[in-house]
Amino acid sequence: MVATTVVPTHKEMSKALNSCGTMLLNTRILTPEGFAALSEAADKLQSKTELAWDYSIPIQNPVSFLPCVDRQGRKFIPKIGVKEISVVTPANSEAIPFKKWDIALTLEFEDESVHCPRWHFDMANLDQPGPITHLQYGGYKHAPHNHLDSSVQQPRWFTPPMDVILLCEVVAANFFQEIWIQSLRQERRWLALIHQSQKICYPHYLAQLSKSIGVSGANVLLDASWNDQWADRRP
Amino acid sequence: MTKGIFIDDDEDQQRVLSALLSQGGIDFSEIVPPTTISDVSKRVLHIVPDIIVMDYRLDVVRKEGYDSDFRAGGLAQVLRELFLEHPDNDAPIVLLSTEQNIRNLFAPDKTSHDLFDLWFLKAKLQSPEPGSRDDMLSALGGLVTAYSDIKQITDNVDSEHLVRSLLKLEQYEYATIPTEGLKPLLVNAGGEPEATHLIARQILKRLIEKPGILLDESTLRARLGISENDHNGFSALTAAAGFDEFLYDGVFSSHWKRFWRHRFNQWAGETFDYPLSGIIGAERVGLLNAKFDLEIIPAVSRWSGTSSEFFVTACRVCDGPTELRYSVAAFDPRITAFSERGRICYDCVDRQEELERKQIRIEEADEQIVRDIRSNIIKRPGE
Repeated sequence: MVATTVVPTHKEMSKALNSCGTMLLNTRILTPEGFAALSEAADKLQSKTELAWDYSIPIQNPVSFLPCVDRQGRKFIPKIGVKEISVVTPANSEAIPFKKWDIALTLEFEDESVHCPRWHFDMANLDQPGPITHLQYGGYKHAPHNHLDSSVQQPRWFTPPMDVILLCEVVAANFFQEIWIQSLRQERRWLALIHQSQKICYPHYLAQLSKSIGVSGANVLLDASWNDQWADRRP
Repeated sequence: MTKGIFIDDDEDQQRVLSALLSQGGIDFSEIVPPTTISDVSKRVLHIVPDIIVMDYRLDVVRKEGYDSDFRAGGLAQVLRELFLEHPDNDAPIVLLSTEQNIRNLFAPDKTSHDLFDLWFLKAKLQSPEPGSRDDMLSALGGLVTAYSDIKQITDNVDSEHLVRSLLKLEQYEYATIPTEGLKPLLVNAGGEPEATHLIARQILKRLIEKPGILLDESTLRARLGISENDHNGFSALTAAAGFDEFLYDGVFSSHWKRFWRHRFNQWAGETFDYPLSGIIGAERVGLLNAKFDLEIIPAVSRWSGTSSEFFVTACRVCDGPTELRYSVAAFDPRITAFSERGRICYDCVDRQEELERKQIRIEEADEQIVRDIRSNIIKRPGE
């Protein structure tokens, strides 16, 4: 059975952003500034509409986590910025529930001369080659040291959309694994948040997977995900 | 009439300062000499003052009938205990002393800090500038009003609704803001409200004196990217955009002007297509000027000297607008969801003096930046 897309109301998502921030703050993963950024987005959601809402978190005032250290002992801060996430209630669970989805995770090194890894998730623009929802590495980050920016835009990996809560979980689990295991992974309130976001983000992806794998003669997954197949199905 | 007592072992000071304190509308004419702690306690129970102001040194003058072996901290501790037994008499306690005593004696005496609602320099009260004195006298009045409001609310509201009643918010609005961790500070383990002075301290220190779910005017200006000197511009914008709708009117609001952050954020979300924090100061002000037909002056970074910065908050030290990239985090051992961690601009880190005077500490993680600024490794842009 394929899961159904469930889009929470703007107020439910507002509450979720605050809860997510509070829990990450209390477990000492998120900076107070990062919490304030999530909370600001939560406040703004309050005045949106129930069935179509959006939020942005500028990278200049990002969801910033506590400093981590790489293998060479260099300090970096994981930061999440949301250019825009705009959600609509889809017609069915095969449709993408996002009008806009543009979010990035950057590991910002203290030392300006070090390349900062950046993963950028978004939806393909009209006529852009690549999967409709994709992840690509790099992008513009290093001004004025532009030579540090990655000059290759490909590959664009087919990926399910992740909202800011799901991406926060990725950061928590990967960069703060012990805390995530001890304080979050089985915490009921945390799981409720993650489940809520999964129900927005994953059902249409799952439907696509299921269709490609389970129906003989159907388009293979990457082909089915390619932007040109979505021309008349874009949200 | 509202009654206060001012306790000082120097009789001349007691007389002069009591007269000055009385100019704020609180009657400080009752004299309570600091003979012994026990005597003072009895007098306090008898007089039932609405506020108690005391000098730090109560042990200097030695004369017949004076113990001369206690200072303000010792006396305040006994009075706080007394108020636990007599909750109706609970009153704010304010320290009023010389800069030297505050710096050399009170500052290191950290265990006594929580005993005082506020502290002031005697010089502020004696200042020839009426604005400085008026502000202090207004703060004393604000404390009296807050204590009275808290008592009235704790007497009449059940603990379940205590926090939102103190903050004067309806349930539907209260439910939308992050207040986790606030209730356990105001309600004890048995579900009863804490003593008035404990509730007052938590609200004043954690919600009023630092930004969080409530913002002061300086922080609001920084979020808007407005120059801290453009008072007319801010006033005009306040009127045009209806910022009075964001005003906090819960306890302590009679003296401390604060704005609800969530109401401001919602207004910003409805008024602008993109979050202001992602737009440089000059452009923010450009948008405001165009939208409200004003001529507001943009904020200028004290470090980079330009308005092309993403101003985010007011510096804890200088109160000027500052940006994340040219500021360090203020040390805060009590990080909560309802308060924001303060920032200190590079300029104040560099100049050092005011930072030390205000005794604001910097987060350990940012100490290297502090060293780099002071040794000129981190330079101002263009230097």
